[in-house]
Amino acid sequence: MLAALLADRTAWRHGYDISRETALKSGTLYPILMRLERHGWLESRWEDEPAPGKPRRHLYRLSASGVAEARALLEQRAAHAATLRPAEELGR
Amino acid sequence: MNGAARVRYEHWIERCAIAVCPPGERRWLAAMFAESAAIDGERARSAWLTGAAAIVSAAIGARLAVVLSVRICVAAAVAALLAWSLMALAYVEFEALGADDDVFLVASGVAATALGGIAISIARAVFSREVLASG
Repeated sequence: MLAALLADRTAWRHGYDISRETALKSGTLYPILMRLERHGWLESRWEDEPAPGKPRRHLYRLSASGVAEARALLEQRAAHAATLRPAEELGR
Repeated sequence: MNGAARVRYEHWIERCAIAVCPPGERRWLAAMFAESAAIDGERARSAWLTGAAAIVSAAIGARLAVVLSVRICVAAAVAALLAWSLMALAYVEFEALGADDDVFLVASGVAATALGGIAISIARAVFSREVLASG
């Protein structure tokens, strides 16, 4: 999910778009979004101009600190995966 | 159910769901409902709203956990057991120890009233502002 939000970090995203991209169900996605915002990683706002006849939607994007933390976390995960790969190859 | 009635019904459900959530989560729930209006397809929309329902039930569960102490649970269990067993005794017209079966019925009513009182106090505590704020 962090990777999805990092892909275009300046763009404001709808919850349903994030859900489709990450394949996370709404009951899983929103608690994550809540936690990210509580920790200051996520910015949110209501849409300025909703589609005609539709309610205003909530928009999300990573905050500056969220971008830094997410990048660090993803790099850490990639490094960890790289260290595991040789072991997996040995196991084959 | 026609279109207008359905919109009214959904709006009512939405308001109830938002009302039972702690203030901190209401905005998120409102966002989920607003998002659901933008989803095409009944199935996808239902799945989306199921997630909202899961968040509401988790919020209610968390509030119940704050409110329910062991003492209240024991009192409720004892009152329920008494109400049920005394009612059963009255139903089979049990008479013993010089007591008429109507006495068991009255005692069962008292226990049921106590159980109702406990249930009301739990409900009041669950929806109190203090718990709402801490939930």
